[in-house]
Amino acid sequence: MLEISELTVHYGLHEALHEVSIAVAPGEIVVVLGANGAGKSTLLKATMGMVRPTRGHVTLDGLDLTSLIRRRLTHQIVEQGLVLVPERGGTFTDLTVQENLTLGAFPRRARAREAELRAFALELFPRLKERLHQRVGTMSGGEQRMVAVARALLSAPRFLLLDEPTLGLAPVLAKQLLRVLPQIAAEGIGILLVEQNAQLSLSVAQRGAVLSNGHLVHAASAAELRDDPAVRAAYLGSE
Amino acid sequence: MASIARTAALPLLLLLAALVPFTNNDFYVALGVSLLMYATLATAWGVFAGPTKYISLATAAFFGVGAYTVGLFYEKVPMLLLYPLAAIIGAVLAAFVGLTTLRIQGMYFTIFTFGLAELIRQFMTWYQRNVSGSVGVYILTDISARQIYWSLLVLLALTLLGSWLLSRSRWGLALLMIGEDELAARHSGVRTTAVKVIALAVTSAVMAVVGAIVAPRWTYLDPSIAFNPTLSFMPAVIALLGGMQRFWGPLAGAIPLVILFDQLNARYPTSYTLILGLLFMVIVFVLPDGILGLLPKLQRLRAPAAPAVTPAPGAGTLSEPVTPAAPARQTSPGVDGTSGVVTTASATGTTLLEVRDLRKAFGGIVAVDELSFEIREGEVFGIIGPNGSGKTTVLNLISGVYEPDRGEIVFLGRPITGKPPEDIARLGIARTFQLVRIYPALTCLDHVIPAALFGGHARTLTEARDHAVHILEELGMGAFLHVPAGQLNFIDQKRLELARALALRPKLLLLDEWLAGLNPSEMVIGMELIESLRGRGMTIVLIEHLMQAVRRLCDRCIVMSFGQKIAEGVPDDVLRDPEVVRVYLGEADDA
Amino acid sequence: MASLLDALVTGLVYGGVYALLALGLTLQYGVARILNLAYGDFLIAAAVFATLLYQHYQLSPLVSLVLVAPISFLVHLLVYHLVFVQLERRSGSWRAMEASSILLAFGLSFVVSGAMLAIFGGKLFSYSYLLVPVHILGSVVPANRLLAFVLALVFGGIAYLLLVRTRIGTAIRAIAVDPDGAPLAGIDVRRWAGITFAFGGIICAAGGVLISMFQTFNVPMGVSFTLKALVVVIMGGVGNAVGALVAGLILGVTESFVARYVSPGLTLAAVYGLFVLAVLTMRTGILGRALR
Repeated sequence: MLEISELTVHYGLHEALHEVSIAVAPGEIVVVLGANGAGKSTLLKATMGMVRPTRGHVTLDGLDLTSLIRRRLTHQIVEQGLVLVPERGGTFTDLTVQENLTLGAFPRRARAREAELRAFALELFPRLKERLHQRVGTMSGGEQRMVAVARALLSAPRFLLLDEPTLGLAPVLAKQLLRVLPQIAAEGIGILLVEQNAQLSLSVAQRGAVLSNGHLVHAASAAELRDDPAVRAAYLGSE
Repeated sequence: MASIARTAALPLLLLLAALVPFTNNDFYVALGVSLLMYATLATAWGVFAGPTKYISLATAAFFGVGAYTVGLFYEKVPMLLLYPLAAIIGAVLAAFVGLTTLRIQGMYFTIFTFGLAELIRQFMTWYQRNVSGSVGVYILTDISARQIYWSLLVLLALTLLGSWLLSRSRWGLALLMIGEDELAARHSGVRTTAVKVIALAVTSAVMAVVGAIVAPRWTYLDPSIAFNPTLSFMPAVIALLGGMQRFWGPLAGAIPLVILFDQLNARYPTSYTLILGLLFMVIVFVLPDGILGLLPKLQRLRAPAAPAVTPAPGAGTLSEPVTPAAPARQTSPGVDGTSGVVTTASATGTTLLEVRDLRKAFGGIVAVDELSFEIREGEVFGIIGPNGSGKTTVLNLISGVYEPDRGEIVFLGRPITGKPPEDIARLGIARTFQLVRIYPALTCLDHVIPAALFGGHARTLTEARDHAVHILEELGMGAFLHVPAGQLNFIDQKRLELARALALRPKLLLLDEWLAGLNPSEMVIGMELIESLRGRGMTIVLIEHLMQAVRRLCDRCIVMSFGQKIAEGVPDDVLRDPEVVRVYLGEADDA
Repeated sequence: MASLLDALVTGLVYGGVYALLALGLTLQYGVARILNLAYGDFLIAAAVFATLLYQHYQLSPLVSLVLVAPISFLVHLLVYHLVFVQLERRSGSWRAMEASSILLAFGLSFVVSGAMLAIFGGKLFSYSYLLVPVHILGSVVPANRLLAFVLALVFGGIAYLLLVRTRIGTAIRAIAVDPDGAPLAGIDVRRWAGITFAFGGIICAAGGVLISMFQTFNVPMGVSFTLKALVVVIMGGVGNAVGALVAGLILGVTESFVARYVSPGLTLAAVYGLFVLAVLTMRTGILGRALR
């Protein structure tokens, strides 16, 4: 169980996140929606210790990660099994696909299962099989995103955090990418997904939450959110 | 009374110092020469390195060049002419270094200066060996130690004066801005390369003159004396120890250090370099904020006779933007003929900015693709689209941060494609940044004045200050003129950024997600502000995610997706377009 | 004609060593983000070490190579953690840290060279090792230089392979390319940056021993070596191993030709000439931020 409780983050004077609590169960997909500036990225970054929270706790399968977060020891958080695919990144663009995957298995806990996870990742993204020695920076946006997720899988995550994975992707590719998520979840990996593409992500998730101005304003099952006019209003404003 | 004592202290000290040669004590005079020499070198070094944080390790090079000017030409050219000659040669050398390395950011400058003294030393050695036949020059003049002492004293006094004047002038401010945030400085209209090169040239000229004055002290001059590495090292140590916050800091640091150095040199002639090196490292290390603690906190420009306005009780709290000027905020400030904020009166329909077939790619990713649109005078033009659609890139292309791969940008009928940010700022396009770029230690007034000076066409400091005060008051920040920006709350920091942009007297204002991160009440204030600007005829480009702001404020807008324009028109129409809805909410999964 | 070939071969030999030196420095700057202005001084220290061992104990420089490696590693690791890491903790902004780090390195240069000056003064060091002439490519090269060249390439090659073929090497390259993203792959940046800095120190020391085999030197020459290594790094691009090799060879050959056909006293001027050329043909500051 990944439990984020009362997480609060300030950027200087600006309160980016206010006492947000979210839980993700193993094998579950939870999506966080909200307009830009709502605090979605901040939520993930704080969970990984990339920004320092003012208040709040994070527990991973009973292990309290809060002190690691406060000391910004992101690499140790990854070692514990919490892996983030960041916005617009998640790959080392100057290195090849193969090298990225190898680095995915850098955490010690991932080394034992490297062969198995590599096979799994390449099965999910067969396109990468032919491009193992290509520099990631020369690949298209969609392919780069695949490499990022594949790399994250090789780190043997217990929980996977994804920050706007479909950003800048053509609709077909976005669909392809998000469709992979249930297959990952089926392996028992819990997924916390931050997305702009509300409709599509709500179709793969079980539950969803809406952030607005750093506050958690709405949480419900994905089905309920899908038909909710409030979600539409949050993105397009009301007429 | 205390301030009179303070202003008199330094000149008094210098006057007293002038009396030392009369004691007829050779030791004191020699020590005094060392002291004055290093104090001047350190002050000159600090003038450039302190504010800009560009570290020059080449003091020995300029000093040596000056010393050799005397050494090589003293028999042919009168001494009095040799000093300006040394200054010119030093300045030319520095200009060469600056123009080569200061145009690009990075360590090139420091690396270049690191070996420069060694380079010139080797060059001089080669020159002397092959041209003069012997390495080393005899300098036989009848210049006495006393004369050297007094000449140095005069030079020191002039350098201190120069440093003091600079710190109170716009150029000192420009140097500080360069050291803090060079890009923001350029967007305020500062011609950063020119400023850096000139500052370097002038300070290096001073160093060369020091060398020229001191040269006769050594009857025999050879390259290893003239270009001694310690000459690059000591001024930096001194300036760091004494601090560069005040113009007399290096002088204060010189006194103990030169005496210490003198003693070390006498007692441990072989290991004084080692000791000095250790001392230096300890100083750099142990200082509370590293160098940051000693670098000049951005100083206030001299305030006019008007009393400093203190925020009303409770107004300084960080939670609410309430000040005595609050009433002005609730209503949109009326059109004011003398406001100076606005340049034209209404939406006349003439095209202000035209973007044609713009394209920009970063590696394999095309951020902006065949984009064309035009902005009419007086309108509020929105650019919206999901994350990653290229909106900020468009803004960066217009404001000069990037050069487009293809396409043109035409402003007021003139092409501005590829011009640098400082030129575009001066032509009348101002912008705010997505992440607020302000200097926390600098007061609000001092944020806005430089923009008025460098880009806003104010001719004097007074004019700039008046203009700045006016703008800040118009934006409801009259109570915060002398408050350091770091103490402001978020909406006020945003207003400060806006004030800075407005100080450029822009004809076009680019707001990059300016309303982002505001709470509902702050958002109301923000939108009213933009409305008031529009009411005065300002042409505004708004990049926004908040749809209620777009609907309320924008006359027209375009929607971007993957770098292309997919819709254009009135917000209400555009936001009903199914394509736009799809782009924002995504497709429903049909399978 | 023979003279041309001579100059060329000499240049290539020196170039190979410069390339190795550049590799060490580029690791220190590209990964640990430290502009080590004391690089040349550490190099001289290693050269002195090898010279003394040869002069007093007749120990071959090859033995010195083995001895100096762990010493250099430890020294550099200590310097990294005790000096530079502590500095990072105390600095406010990135710009301030960069400035402090340069000054600290500058001070370190004075400490290292000062210590050596205190003990040895400015005297010249040299020893004769393998002064056997070898005929190669139509010119005669002393065996010691050839050996130095070969060893430089071998070490460079090993370092390159380590960087490219091992997981840790890949992780180090990842830090150079994306220090903020590396922790997301579970990489402890501080630890590995320190190890890389120390590894660069090994290369530096090895270079020093190699140079001692065929060149007369004294303590003040440290600055020249630092500078040449820096220029090769700039010319070849930070973090670019192949670039460093090519640039190193170019520098070596240029220097050699200038020494032979213009004047030996102007070699540093030639180096600066290349520096200026490299900087002027650069559009963006490669050394400034981006690393590959």
